[in-house]
Amino acid sequence: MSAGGLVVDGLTISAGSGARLLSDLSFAIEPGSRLGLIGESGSGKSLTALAIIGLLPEGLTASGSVRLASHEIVGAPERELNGVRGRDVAVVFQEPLTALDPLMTIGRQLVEPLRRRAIADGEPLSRREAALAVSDRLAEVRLPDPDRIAGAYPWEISGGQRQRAALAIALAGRPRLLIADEPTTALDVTVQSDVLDLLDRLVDERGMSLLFISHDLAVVARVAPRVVVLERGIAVESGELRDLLTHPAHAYTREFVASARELDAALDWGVPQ
Amino acid sequence: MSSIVALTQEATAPVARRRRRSITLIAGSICVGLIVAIALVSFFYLPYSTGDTSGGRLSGPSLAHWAGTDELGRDLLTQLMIGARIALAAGGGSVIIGGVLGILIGLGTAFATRWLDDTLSAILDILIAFPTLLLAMLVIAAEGESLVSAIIAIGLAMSAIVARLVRILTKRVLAQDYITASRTSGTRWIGVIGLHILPNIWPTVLVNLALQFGLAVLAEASLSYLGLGAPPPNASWGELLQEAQGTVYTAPVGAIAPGVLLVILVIGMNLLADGLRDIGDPTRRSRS
Repeated sequence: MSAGGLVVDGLTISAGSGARLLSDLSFAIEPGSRLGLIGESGSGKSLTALAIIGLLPEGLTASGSVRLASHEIVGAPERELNGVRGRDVAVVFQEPLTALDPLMTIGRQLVEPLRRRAIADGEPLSRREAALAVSDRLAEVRLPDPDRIAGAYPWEISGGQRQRAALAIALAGRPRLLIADEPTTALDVTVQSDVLDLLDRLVDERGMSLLFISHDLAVVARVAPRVVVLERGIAVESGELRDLLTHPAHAYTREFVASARELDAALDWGVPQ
Repeated sequence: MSSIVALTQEATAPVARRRRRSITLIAGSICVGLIVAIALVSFFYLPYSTGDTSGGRLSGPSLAHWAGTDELGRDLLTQLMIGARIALAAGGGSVIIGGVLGILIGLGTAFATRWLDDTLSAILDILIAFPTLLLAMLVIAAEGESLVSAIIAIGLAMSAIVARLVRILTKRVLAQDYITASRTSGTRWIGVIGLHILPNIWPTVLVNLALQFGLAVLAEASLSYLGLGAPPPNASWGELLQEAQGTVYTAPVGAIAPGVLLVILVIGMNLLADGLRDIGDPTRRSRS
């Protein structure tokens, strides 16, 4: 598998008590392609993301195989994982306010992965270069007045700006696979759309692969043509999203699609076309 | 945790309270600054040498002896000035030992496996329950009476308290999303400690260390009072108090002066600790 590709094969996550939180999940993402992972909360979506990056919470163990670029993640030593994280794969989380350190300015949080990547590439950044790179990256995620944002603390900027900053931080190591774990769920609907467009464009421009995790069919439909549907830790259906919407095979998916349609209908009802 | 409750209350506190905070900081700085100034001056100037007994026994305050003399006719002001050095060395020394050890042990237990964490926590609990004075006596019995023995003993006792605090604060920070987020971008554990954990726990630890400084000064004075501290002629305030005990009615200055200086230093450190709470945490600093 070449750079940016991800093959998950028989991934199982169990708790210390023996309970299976995720059972035998398999999917593949070709380099440069996209996959949506859909399911309700508690279905194991976020655990899958953490397992892919080798950061399962204490007490949980993964078995099976996660192949990322040329690395086998399951069972890999910390040293190897540290080289993979940020460079081969990065994550954008749901709630940017808690995913950013409240005591560090945005600029400092962004400069760390930038510097790490530069050192790994053998071209350490000077102080000046680092400051310029921070401005560049913040401008790239369409943040107005990047220099002000770089000097601001996370709680001093808006939710949409925070998520853009978090996206810039995730992309700082130029990862080849981006995992977006409900990246727009915590945002206003209007901001949601902007951030989604931005994510879509950046992933496209950089030729990154994308694993997009969401409980929201409509959101996934905008960015990922192919999906896997998870129900309580088991993949019940997978395939082209279009087919899934028109011919949901599994009862759970049917229900899921129906409830999404109902919500859509309810929303459209008051708005004459 | 009460300190956390205090912090959150403060975040919503009206401006008047914020202003009061800065007054505590100033008052604390003045008190501590006074003692530091006395200690610094003592290195360059002392009214009399410590062995000079020319003043006459137990003379009251006079132009020649501002604070009077002790039973042996030695100048009290000279001894008080040297005592300031000792008090600051005792506080500073034990805070450095207790702080460094406590932070290392606290971080270690926070990162340890559950079994190791439980074991270490139990040991820390025992250490905390162990009377500081008894611990100090053990160290002094092994190392001999000296200021250094007292500092080591107080520092060790303090490290257990600091370690408990650091452990619980670190665990709380480790549970935050931004730790996971930072690690997904490739931050190593050592980086997590330097970038996220230490800056986030530092405000609370710093305030605690300032409080511990005051307690350490008192502990050293108690040890000296019991005759377990620095031997004369480099007497600590505790020893001056002990010497003046017998003559407290005939020569009250001998007892009052070291007592007042102790109170100034300890209260000063407590006020400073209180005032410091605002600094180092930008979420509670108003930005213009």
